[in-house]
Amino acid sequence: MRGLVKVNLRHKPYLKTMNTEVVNNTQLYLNEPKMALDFLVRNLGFVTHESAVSENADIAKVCDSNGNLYEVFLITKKNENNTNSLKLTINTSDCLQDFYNMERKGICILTKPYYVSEGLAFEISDYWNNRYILIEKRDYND
Amino acid sequence: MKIFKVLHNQNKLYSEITTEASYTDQKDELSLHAVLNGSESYTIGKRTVTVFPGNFLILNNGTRYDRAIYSDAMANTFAIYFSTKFLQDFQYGYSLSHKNLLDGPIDKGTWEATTFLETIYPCKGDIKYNLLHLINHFNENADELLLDDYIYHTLFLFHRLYDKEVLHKSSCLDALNAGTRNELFKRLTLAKDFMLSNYNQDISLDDISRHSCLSPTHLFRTFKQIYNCSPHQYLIQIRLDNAKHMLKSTTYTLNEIVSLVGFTCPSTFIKLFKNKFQFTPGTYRNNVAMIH
Repeated sequence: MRGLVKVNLRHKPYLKTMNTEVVNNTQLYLNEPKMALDFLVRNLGFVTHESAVSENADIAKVCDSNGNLYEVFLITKKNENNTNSLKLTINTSDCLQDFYNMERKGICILTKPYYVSEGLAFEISDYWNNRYILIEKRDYND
Repeated sequence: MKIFKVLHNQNKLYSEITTEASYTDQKDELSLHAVLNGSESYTIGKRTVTVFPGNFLILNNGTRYDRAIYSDAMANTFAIYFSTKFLQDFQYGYSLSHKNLLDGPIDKGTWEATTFLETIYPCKGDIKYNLLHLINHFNENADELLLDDYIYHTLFLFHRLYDKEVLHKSSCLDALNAGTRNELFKRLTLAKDFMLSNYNQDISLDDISRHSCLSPTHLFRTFKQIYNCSPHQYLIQIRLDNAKHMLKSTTYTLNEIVSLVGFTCPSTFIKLFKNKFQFTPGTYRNNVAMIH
């Protein structure tokens, strides 16, 4: 059995006006780093910012659709039992559209869009049972 | 320019950008009418209401009305017409428990559409975001199923807003009799609609009380029970909110905005604006310009 890989996503603000919250110390457990980044890029709108991941690389930089920069740390963890996966929160600008697109792509959707105090959110999971919350944050004071 | 689209489930979306238009004796299904820029007036029976940005109007199935746009600048309006079938499915889903829905069968022959209070509602919070997304996708000719999702959420959010703005607020009135309470609430709604429609005019408490068929004293006392402010304070809030919208979305000068929203003195306006939003109109406009 291939060893699992822990991915630390450390958030760094990329643009001053962009949202700069969440994601600190979030870990994703993955069998294959390339596939992990592929999921982020293909389904969550991330783009590889600097270096693409190779077998030897332990850091990659990716940007989400809002321009937030993430440093992805890839650490191998052998025989990790991934039963209590953490939820990675990702900001989106249009929650219902993302939900609609992911439903069409056949991504595993865990919840329908639901309203929370910060905005509108829904949850998905990837091939390795990592859970993602996509949230459209809304300013209710405007 | 007009865009009209009938979806597969007979829901309809309508958008119009014009400076002048008039339509008489309209009659539709339950509909939601919003304005992005400018204003649109509706005559329902003997009363006329004007919808400005930041608000929307709900009209029930079968209500006859005239509507008109007369504007110096381009008015941009948007409407959703909910089909009876869609409403029926939504209301069963909204009102029945999962068990009842699964146990069925539902006798749709006895179904009656909910009748809402035909008044101006605030387009704020989730429903504002939802409508703006819907309008964008409608203009981009997005897939119908996506538009349907937005229409469903709009209706859901409207029900939530209705609970808050009508059912909860009417329960705040201290009239003991339910019939009296409902009638009083309807009259206060007339007062609120009159202010929202004529905020840019020089209106007095007497004008408002005449339109709501309440004495000034009674109006003053009961209005405060549900809106937590006097009619005059409410009018000031409407003017400030509209001034904020104009600062954000138009190039009118400050003095023009002051007179367009019904203030007479710029310094009073600046003071009130700062009290409410914690920054001056100039600072607000500069901040908005920086963000965009």
